[in-house]
Amino acid sequence: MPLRLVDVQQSILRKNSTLAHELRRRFEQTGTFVLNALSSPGSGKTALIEETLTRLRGRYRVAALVGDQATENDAQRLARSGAPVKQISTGAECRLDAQMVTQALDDDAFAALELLTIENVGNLICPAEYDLGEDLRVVLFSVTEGEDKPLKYPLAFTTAHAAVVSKIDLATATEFDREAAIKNIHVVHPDLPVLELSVKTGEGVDRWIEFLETRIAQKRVLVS
Amino acid sequence: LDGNSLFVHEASIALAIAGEVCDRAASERIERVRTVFVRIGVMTGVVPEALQFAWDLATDGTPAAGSRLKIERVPLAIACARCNAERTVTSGAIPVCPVCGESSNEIVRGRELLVTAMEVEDAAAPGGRPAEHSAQEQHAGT
Repeated sequence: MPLRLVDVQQSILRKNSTLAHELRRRFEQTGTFVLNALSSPGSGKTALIEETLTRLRGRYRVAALVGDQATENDAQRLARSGAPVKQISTGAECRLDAQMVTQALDDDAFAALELLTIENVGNLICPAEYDLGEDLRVVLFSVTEGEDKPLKYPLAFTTAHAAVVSKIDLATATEFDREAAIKNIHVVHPDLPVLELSVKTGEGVDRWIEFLETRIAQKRVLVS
Repeated sequence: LDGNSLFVHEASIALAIAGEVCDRAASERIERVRTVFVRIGVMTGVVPEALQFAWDLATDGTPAAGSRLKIERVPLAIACARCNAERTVTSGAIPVCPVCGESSNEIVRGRELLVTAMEVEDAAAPGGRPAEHSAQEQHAGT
């Protein structure tokens, strides 16, 4: 049997891109602002999102999705905020994808939201590649992880709309070089907004909330 | 640690490639896929060796079982605002101009995750002859 060469020229992530595009259109129609948080395990995504939900749930209709490979611990922590929370168990998969989000949204508690937070699986490689239809992709790293995180995982920082440096209450104890960390972020992504905060002490959290609310307001103007 | 997620990432990408290839095979009466050509940018975080390793498992039981995966690695290229020129970054995946040292937000190449072509064997047509295909397809990708 002769061999034939077939021209394909197809994106490997075509299906995800199509679904993410549909999600983005739907979020525009419902006026939902979507936050996608990326980080390594242990950077404080859950703590920041719990704090965010707690502070904003009186002002917006909020809900949270949380991706985890095995446990439901993070979902239980987020539920303490009083917001509707749904766990997406990804099993072997190292990231959420647009299909998982689409399925999770098929739920009355997730209709007509003003703010949806998505906590991705703790990983800086896989989630960077998957669009979830979000408005704001935030990449976090804590002062305990060292200053070179952006150089090790450039795609996560390139695709992010903002970076959060977390656990700054531990900066002195860990001899964190703040200047170097911010420089490394901007080497990978010039002008990326950087927010430094500690959920534990509350330092910088007001600024984060203000930053997020400004973005939410900007989307409202755009879609209304 | 992030280390063990490396292979999981490639497994996921390998399954996505196999999905695209098998969809195409099903719609075109392709019996067997012998070679799959992909283009992978250095910025994707996909390690070629790990993708190669995941390929056999991802294609097991499909028309692409036993096929070869040919990976073309695409280096990072950026548009440098200071040089006002396109520059290829010779090593690594950090978008810094190799000439002037300026960082760039404009990635020109290096994020590719693309199936470019595949070499296939067609299923015999009902008359016993191989299915016919356009000349364009015969020469595509060569």
